[in-house]
Amino acid sequence: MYSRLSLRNMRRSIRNYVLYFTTLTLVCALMYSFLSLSFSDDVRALAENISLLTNGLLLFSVVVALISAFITSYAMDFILVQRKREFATYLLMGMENGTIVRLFLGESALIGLTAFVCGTAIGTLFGSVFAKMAMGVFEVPYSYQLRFSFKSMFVSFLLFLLMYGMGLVKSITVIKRTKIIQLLYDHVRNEVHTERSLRWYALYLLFSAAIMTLGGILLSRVVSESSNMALLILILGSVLVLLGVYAFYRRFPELLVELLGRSKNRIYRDANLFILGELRSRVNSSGRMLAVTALLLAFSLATMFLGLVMGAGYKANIRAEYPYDVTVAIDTKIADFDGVLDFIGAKSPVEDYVSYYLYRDPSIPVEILALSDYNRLRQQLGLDEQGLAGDQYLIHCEWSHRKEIKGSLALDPSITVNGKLLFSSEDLIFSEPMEQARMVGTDGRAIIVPDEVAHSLEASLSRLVVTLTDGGRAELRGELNRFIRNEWKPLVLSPPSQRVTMSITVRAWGIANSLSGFSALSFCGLYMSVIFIVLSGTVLGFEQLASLVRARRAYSIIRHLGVTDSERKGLILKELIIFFLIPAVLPCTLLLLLAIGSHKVFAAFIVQPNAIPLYAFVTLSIFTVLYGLYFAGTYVIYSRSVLGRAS
Amino acid sequence: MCILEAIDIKKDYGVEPNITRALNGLSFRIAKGEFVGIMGASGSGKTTLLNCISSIDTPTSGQIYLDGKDLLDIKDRDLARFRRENFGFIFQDFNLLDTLTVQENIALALVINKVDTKKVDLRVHEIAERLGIGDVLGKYPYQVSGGQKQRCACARAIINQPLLILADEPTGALDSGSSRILMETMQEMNQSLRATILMVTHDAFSASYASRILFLRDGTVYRELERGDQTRSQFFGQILAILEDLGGYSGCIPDSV
Repeated sequence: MYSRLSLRNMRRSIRNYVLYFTTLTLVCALMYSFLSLSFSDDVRALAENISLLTNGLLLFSVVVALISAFITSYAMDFILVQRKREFATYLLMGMENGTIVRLFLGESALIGLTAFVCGTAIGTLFGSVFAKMAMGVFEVPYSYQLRFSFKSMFVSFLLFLLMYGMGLVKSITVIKRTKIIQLLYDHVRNEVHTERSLRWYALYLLFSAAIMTLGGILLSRVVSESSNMALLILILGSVLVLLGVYAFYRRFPELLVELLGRSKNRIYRDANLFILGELRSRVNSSGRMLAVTALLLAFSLATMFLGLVMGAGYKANIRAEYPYDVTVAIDTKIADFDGVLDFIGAKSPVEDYVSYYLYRDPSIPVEILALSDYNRLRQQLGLDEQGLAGDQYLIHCEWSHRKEIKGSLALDPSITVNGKLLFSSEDLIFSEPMEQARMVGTDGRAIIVPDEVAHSLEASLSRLVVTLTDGGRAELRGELNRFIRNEWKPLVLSPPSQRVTMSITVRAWGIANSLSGFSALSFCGLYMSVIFIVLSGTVLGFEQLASLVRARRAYSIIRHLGVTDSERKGLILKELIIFFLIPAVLPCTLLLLLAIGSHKVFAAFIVQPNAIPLYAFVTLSIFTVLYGLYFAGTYVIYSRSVLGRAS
Repeated sequence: MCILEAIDIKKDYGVEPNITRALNGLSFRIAKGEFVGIMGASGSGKTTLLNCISSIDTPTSGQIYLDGKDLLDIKDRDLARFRRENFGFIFQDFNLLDTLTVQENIALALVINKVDTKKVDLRVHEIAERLGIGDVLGKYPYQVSGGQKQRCACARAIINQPLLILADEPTGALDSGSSRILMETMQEMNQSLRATILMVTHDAFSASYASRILFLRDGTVYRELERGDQTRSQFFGQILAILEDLGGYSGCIPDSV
């Protein structure tokens, strides 16, 4: 009997449940798909440190479940409010509280399970797309295939239980504690309008803007801070910005409505006066929620944008970080690298190699390289050769050093190397990626001098660059590392006073492992932000639908006053557009500011041109599509409910 | 001059074989400047008649002319405009928007009628002063009394100077004191502002403010009563007598009549 009643109740209040069900399904789908990515054997085999991505996704899933629990609880509150009078009727008929709880539990379990099953099915589709994307990042061929992961489903179900259970427990407590009188008359409470002066609003908003600005200043300082304080400043700056956004939004919509109300010319045009009233009511009853939504949106847009930009920057910079197939750096002078070359040759065919020294002159603070060695390195990278007159030197540095070096050259273009005077100019500064921090210099710059000048100096560091015919395998790094450390006995020509440091890079390994970082940043950023946008859309949708009873009456009144059905549709559209735009304006503005700021500061460090504007656009597009879906859904349900009943 | 003419209006609800006839060949005329009351027991067709006249509902057959124009000839897309230009409404539960102040509620009728924005405030203040609600213009409906709310609804109904004001049980939600003030206000609207009013009511006291009353029974006009030169007290007595005859009223004359 009760199960039939539950089913009938669900069918009858299907409109209330549409948004709720959609959100539950989407959250389940995203959770399952990201978890399936996390547990995928194909993905786990991509790189040694891929756990950065897989563990990150697992951790984020727990966070998502906890945050979603609050939203689920909020959605259940909405449904409870809609059904308070129905529950009151059951109580008046003599039904026990426990029975109502069981009825509600039955309905919720049915909805939850259906949403979970649908979500898992959709998640299987999403999972395949995400797997394809992840494989694409690593440039591993992958064809779409629907794979069901029992492990992902099991973990998703546990997280879903956590999320849904928390919401259910709260709702059951509410049903148990609420008295019949509250259930019957809760909807007839008056709205209370608090009047504040413009001056109060101005001071409040200035204060919140100041908090945001302070946060922004702190964030801009993170770039120049190289100590561990950077993380602290980053957290503090982010918290201040988000706090400022919340504080700003807590009162900004009220001020907006207040200002609109003062502009008689504007509100007495068309039916703006009616819209003003509706907005006033929404802002009055949903102020806190609008602020929370703005906060969620600001956080999600920033997370998505930074995740995509940092990930893309990372990927684009990887090739610059690893320009050579294999490098070995020994920080002392050794006779040769023959043993190492033989070992590499046995593993992969060697196409070419450069074995050379970096020299030091006590009067010059950077390493010196012979021109012929430098040109051999350029040759490995397909760069053109450079020439020098007998009294010239050139400088090879990272982009970030160019300005400073140009300034020094303008002051004094000459240096003395081992008693020989050499000159340079701006035309002799080069900045192609050649590993300026290790292979061409050790701190981002090196001086290149004619061979005879270089050979008159004492060699201090030994370097080997190898170009392989097949580009090499990631495993070579481990094998080479073990060989050099355990088996190779180089002939050291100038014993150092301290322990010799050495390093090995293999491009195939470096790229694969760096891509893990890229994937982790991008996928985790995308995961969190998509979930937050979905949750924000849900909250806004429910807030709007919560006003259905009042809205039906209001739109019915203006119908009697002679407003046509098409005009009323237009008014509903206008009302919803404004309601959905309010919490989105500042987060989008902040995103644009973040993009402009990042472009100014980081553009020079990202090899991919216009990566920042591109990903700002991608972020806004994803946001617009998701947010737009919730807007459209809310509009359809709201307008049908309001106009359907009224007409 | 005739403002409203209803000819042989019939209104059926339901489908064969379960048809309920709410209006059964009802005909009457209302002249410009009249204050007409419509009374009758529950189910007599009062609200159905009001809905048909106000073009919210359409009769099954018959004609309704407002200022010579047949309402049934008006296309659906033009009905809303016709309504806002020609009717003013007063409802039992005020139908004010809780989200707007009293001033904004009155102004809304002008705004919807696309009145020059510069004239809106002036006209709102004028009508509010006349109806005695000038001091509550800045308040929200929940901050004023029921009587003030209904006078706000009156101001909203008359501010566009419509051809006809339709009032549906305007005193239904008011106490006796507020009812008296409201009916005096409506009388003032009728006499000083030349408003033509058609009021549906159960209440004999409210009806006694009208100049003519149509009594409905089973969807037709059962009796018609003109006040003529009678005092309101005499008229009230006559109303009660007819109601008793209709079998739907057994009240006594309040002291205040």
